[in-house]
Amino acid sequence: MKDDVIIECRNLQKWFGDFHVLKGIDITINRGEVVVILGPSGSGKSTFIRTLNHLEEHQKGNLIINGIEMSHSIKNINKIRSEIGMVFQSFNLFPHYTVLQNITLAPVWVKKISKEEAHTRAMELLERVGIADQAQKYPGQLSGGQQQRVAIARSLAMKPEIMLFDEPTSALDPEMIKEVLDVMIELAHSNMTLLVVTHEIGFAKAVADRIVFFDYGKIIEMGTPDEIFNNPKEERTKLFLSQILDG
Amino acid sequence: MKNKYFEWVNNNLFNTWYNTVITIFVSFFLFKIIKSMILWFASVSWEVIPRNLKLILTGSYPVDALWRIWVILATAAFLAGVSYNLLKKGFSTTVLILIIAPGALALLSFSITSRIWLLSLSLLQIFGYLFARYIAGEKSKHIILIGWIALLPFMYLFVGGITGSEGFLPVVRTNFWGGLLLSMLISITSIIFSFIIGLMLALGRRSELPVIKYFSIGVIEGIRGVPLITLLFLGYLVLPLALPSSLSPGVLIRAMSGIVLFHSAYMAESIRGGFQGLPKTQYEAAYAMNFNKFQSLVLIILPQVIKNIIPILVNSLTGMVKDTSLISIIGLLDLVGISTAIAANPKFLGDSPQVLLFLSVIYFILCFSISQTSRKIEAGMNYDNKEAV
Repeated sequence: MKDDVIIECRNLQKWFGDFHVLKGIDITINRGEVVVILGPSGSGKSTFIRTLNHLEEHQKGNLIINGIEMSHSIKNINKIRSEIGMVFQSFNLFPHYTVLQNITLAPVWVKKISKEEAHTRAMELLERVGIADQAQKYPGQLSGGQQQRVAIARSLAMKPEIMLFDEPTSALDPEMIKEVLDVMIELAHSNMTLLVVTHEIGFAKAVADRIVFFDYGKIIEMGTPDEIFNNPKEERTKLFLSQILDG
Repeated sequence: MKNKYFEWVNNNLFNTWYNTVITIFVSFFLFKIIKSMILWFASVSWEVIPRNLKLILTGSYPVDALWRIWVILATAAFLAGVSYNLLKKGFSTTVLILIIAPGALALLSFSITSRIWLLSLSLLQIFGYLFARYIAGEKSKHIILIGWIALLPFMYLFVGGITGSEGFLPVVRTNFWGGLLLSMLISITSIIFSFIIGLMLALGRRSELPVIKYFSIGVIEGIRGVPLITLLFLGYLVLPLALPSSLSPGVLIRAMSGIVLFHSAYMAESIRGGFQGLPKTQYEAAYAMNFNKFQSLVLIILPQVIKNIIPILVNSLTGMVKDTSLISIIGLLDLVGISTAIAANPKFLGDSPQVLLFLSVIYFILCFSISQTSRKIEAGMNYDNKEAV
């Protein structure tokens, strides 16, 4: 288990113009691991997880996902993307399709499975995230929490090995955060590899195998939740934690 | 009730002394204008319209081939009927007018063949609807899609003929096409082609490949900077010089290529505006789901872009329909060209205001139906308030 590496980053670097966003990220993530990424805004944590499925391109270093090297090759990018699901802060559902169509669209067009099969699977997933009764509605008719759960179901429909969550609860009203976190906790217990950028400390404490603390485009510190929350070594981590725990 | 109107008039038109003065003045002028309009309407001879109706509608299209145009209209009527089945809220007023109008026209004093055809247009719409509803069912969606797409080539083949000078469909050369027939053909063709070319230019302008990008920018800016008339003359005069005479297209195609090019450039910018209005996150979601670029465009981006630009599209489409009238300048006898020809006929000297008024009504009906249809489509695309199906 320990040696079953699924994501390997070596000296990953990225610039936005002159701005050096990622200044050499080194991390190895094992299959089934739940990694929560913390850090102040602008620290590069979102950019980091976006490079993992090539929504952002890294300019230096190596990124190997499930044995495939991320490069300019479209073939490799597609292979990697087919193993990664992503959930965005702003849900990004397709507003002109129903909830059900949002979920079946990619399996039918990308994976070429039959409509009936995609439909059955989509209904199972909607059941799992608890909104099967909303299948025929359009995203605009759902609450934020429901939309985010649809977005999770949509990603799961592609049967990914890895799920990326980019601040999945930041755009939600407080009373809807829990319903999304519950789905994520259930996922965390299902042996899927999760990378979650979030400010939800409770979630991190409850399910994370490892906490990674980002700042200034670098990994400042990483360790188990116990190590990070109770015994942070770096001053920067202590300061950040004291700020968000007090706030 | 009476009191209410009286009160409204009192409160809004005669509430102060200056409003009273304005009301009296305006009423006086309105009365004068309307009176003279009615008098004019009653005094002139409208004989010119029915006498030239065939000319206005089809130009000098051979009378013994007119049945082909009726067949096209009948096909369109049937397809329209099938399409009504898609309307969720039942028949709207517009649809009812479309169904009843041809039948009602059949009551006027046309020839007996025309009356039968007109009546059949009404009946075919109803038949199409019933056919879609009770026989074709789910398959009617395919019929609608294929039918409407195939209609344009079908129109050209049928109107133009295919079998030489003899046989079932003898060729009718384009210089015999005219009137509303020609205007409609050019409008529909220009709309379809300028949308397709405009879309390609818009995509080209957004391309990451510099050659394609700057080529598209060059074409768009180059064409936008030139008046339509110039393009029409260029197509008319220069195209035959530039191409070998064996390849030289007919006047109709030369004229249409000018219109299509001109409107493609405008269309491209409208469509590009739609692309820019769409949040980047929709692309990201599509790519993260591993859709390829083409699938993302067709399944996810384009439907939203088109929805967003419908009001601008209507602007362009109605503009395009009216701009087709410019082809009369290079000698084609479209609606406007025909009306000039009628005005030049000594038998109808001084009757051109009536003809122009009649043309205005035709153009208004065309453009108004575009805007009405687009409203229906726009309402149908309003997903946020849509009822669960």
